[in-house]
Amino acid sequence: MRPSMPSRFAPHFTLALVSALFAQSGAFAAPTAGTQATLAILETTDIHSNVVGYDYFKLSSDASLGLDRTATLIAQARKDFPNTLLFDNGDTIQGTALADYQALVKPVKCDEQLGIYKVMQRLGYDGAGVGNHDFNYGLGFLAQVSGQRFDVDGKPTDRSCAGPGFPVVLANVHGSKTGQPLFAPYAIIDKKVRATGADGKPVEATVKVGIIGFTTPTILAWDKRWLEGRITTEGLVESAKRYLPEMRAKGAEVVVAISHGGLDASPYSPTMENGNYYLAQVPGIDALLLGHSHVLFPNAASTVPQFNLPNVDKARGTVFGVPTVMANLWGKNLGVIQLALRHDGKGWTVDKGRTVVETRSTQQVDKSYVAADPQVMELVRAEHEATIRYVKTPVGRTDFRMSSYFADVGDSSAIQVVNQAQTDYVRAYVAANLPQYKGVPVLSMAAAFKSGNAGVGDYTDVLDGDLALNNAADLYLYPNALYAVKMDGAGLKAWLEKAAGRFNTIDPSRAEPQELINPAFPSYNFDTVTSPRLSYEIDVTRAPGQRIRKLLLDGKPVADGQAFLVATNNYRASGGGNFPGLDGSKTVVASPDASRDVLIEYIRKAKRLTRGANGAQRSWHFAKVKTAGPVVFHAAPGKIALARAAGLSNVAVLREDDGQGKGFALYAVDLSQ
Amino acid sequence: MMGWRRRAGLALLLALLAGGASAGELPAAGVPDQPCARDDGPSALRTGLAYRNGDGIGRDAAAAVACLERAAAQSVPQAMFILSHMVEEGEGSARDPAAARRWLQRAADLDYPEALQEQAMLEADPRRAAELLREAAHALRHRAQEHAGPAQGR
Repeated sequence: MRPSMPSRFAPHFTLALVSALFAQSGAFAAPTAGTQATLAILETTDIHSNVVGYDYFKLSSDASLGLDRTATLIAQARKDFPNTLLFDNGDTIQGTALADYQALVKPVKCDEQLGIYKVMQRLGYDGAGVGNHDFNYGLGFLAQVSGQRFDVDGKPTDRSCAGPGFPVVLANVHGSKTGQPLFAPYAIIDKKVRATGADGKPVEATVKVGIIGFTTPTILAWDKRWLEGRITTEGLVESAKRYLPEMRAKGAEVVVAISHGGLDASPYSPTMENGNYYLAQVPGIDALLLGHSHVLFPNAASTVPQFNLPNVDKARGTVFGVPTVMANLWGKNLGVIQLALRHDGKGWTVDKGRTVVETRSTQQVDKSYVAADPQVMELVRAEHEATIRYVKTPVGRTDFRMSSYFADVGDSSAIQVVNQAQTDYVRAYVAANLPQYKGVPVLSMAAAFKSGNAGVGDYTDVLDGDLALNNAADLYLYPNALYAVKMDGAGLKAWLEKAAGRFNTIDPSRAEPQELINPAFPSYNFDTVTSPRLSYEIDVTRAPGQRIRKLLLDGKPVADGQAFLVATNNYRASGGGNFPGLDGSKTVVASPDASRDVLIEYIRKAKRLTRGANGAQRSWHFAKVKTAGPVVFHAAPGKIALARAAGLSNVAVLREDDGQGKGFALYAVDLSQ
Repeated sequence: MMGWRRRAGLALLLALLAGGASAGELPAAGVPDQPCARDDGPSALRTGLAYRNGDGIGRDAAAAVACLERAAAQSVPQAMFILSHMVEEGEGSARDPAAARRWLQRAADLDYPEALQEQAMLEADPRRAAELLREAAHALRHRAQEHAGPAQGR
């Protein structure tokens, strides 16, 4: 087969032997009227660099995702259909630690092919579009790995680097300097097909398949720092109206639109994120490949608003009659549009009535997954193993074990360093950017994200010794960004009151054991401060909402109107957990930096964490009270020494097996100490 | 004169009687004489939060719900996320955990990272929870790239 490109892009695309190949491949006799063929268009989308099914932070395989399993679906589809074309719809080169490694840590060299492209070329991809996340590492990297020469900044690079080995098309993004499309807007592929002649006999023929790419125009906002002033975007409809007639004029008999976006029936705008509801209405598209939204289409059961619109047939997979597919994400699915083609003696046309659209899943009916294609791992084993080494690279050391087994009773060994990192970040940010908050005390809230909810092994537990990137994921589980809110003293107290809902109300007069922890209140909502400036008591004998006592800043009672900046995360600042007053309206810092990365940077700078400096500070204690009976809680067995090391002399183990059959031990806390 | 809430309630009742909405659907928004009825999405969100917090305006949870519904009807996921909590707790409306889940799902459908994270936290299946967290991370990256700087200070 032969891709041909618009003439002004030919120099950018390094398939110099294309013309020679074409001379040989054009040898088929023209099909006679009535010749029929089936052509299956296969789509992957939003692979996000999940080349193999692996979680680089848990350092374990993950069968639920990865192009290595999609490869098996592709191989099966090629057995099922006589003629196939395989396309990817972008968001291809970003999304895993492997991608970061190849882009940022040890960037691929000009003559090296990106890991995912090595695999895609081997899998025989026929073309690809570009997604918004493909711009995340900047235009220079994108140009390099996709074998392009972008003329956007100064002068274009002298030579093209190793590209993906198949055409990449994008029609609606232009260089500001040249006004020309950044990539070839379209390509026309001479696809050899096995067909059936009008006489019923098998024949070989060629179908000219045009592919045209679109991406969401919102890239300009999302990657402003890389793209502002360098590129412009055009509406999907405008680009389609410009190029589709040109493609037809150049002989395209079948046109496939590879559009990284979903559907939106809001009034059309050239800058809308998901403009494909309108793209589908532009005449001349025979198959529409969607992406970006991370969902499946067709799907008769879908409740997703974008698939419950007029003229969208979510069961058959059509949008305004155009066969359409979206193959979910991370290689979990393969989209298939089975086009029935008929030749009228002059050219091929699509019989839309006989078109079938489906998606195929790597997960089978019995919930197991199809086998991975072992060749995929072999192709990227070096990159994969280098990424694992990178994730395990120490960024610092800790001389104490950082764990959450006793966080509910005051162990801050896995919490203080998070608060320190967050506080440092906000202080520096305020000093540099928010002079109006100079002098406002900065506090930080953090919680133990793991506390046995998912079983006895579900705790944060980082051993003393080297701290690597994957340890940071244990210390900070959630994919949050660092945010800070401005609160007054009353708001701060209300926040702490809500957090103290973690505890049941204890009756001091009861002689029977009383459970300390309210299981309906998750540990990730038990926000605590670990600042030497702030102190408070939690009186668990009082009703929720009345438990915070002796709230002091620098030894003085906190006034209701006193201002604070509180470092937290986007989830809490935006209303997660339904904390009073926290709903996004108090946010004063919405950092682009991930909370986990802020922690990693703090550890990197600190180099060595010590318990005294980073794991022993507490701002809160239980209000002292003598109880007639024991106050008990459950945690993993065999850990009492960690409570001792944390200075919790009021904690005792009652039974190493609490008798509830889940492997937990029963501990007691003496509230009188 | 009939208060806006009574009139809104009557309008909703009439709509239900006319078959305009089923009991399982999310409440209709934008009844003309409700607070925020003519506001655009961001304005309705701001006013709704102000009503909820008593921020420069009398605290009124029902008015907050009306405004946030208005914002939600205009595809503001933050409003949907807050509504999910208010409806869950019966704040400004009848307690309705099923409606709370639907609001959360609607916010998640719009790729709102906090909604995806909350769904992950509520998810019993660890594999599905992990997927939702990855989705939240991905969605947050859009925002991170877009807002590479501080929010507007108050």
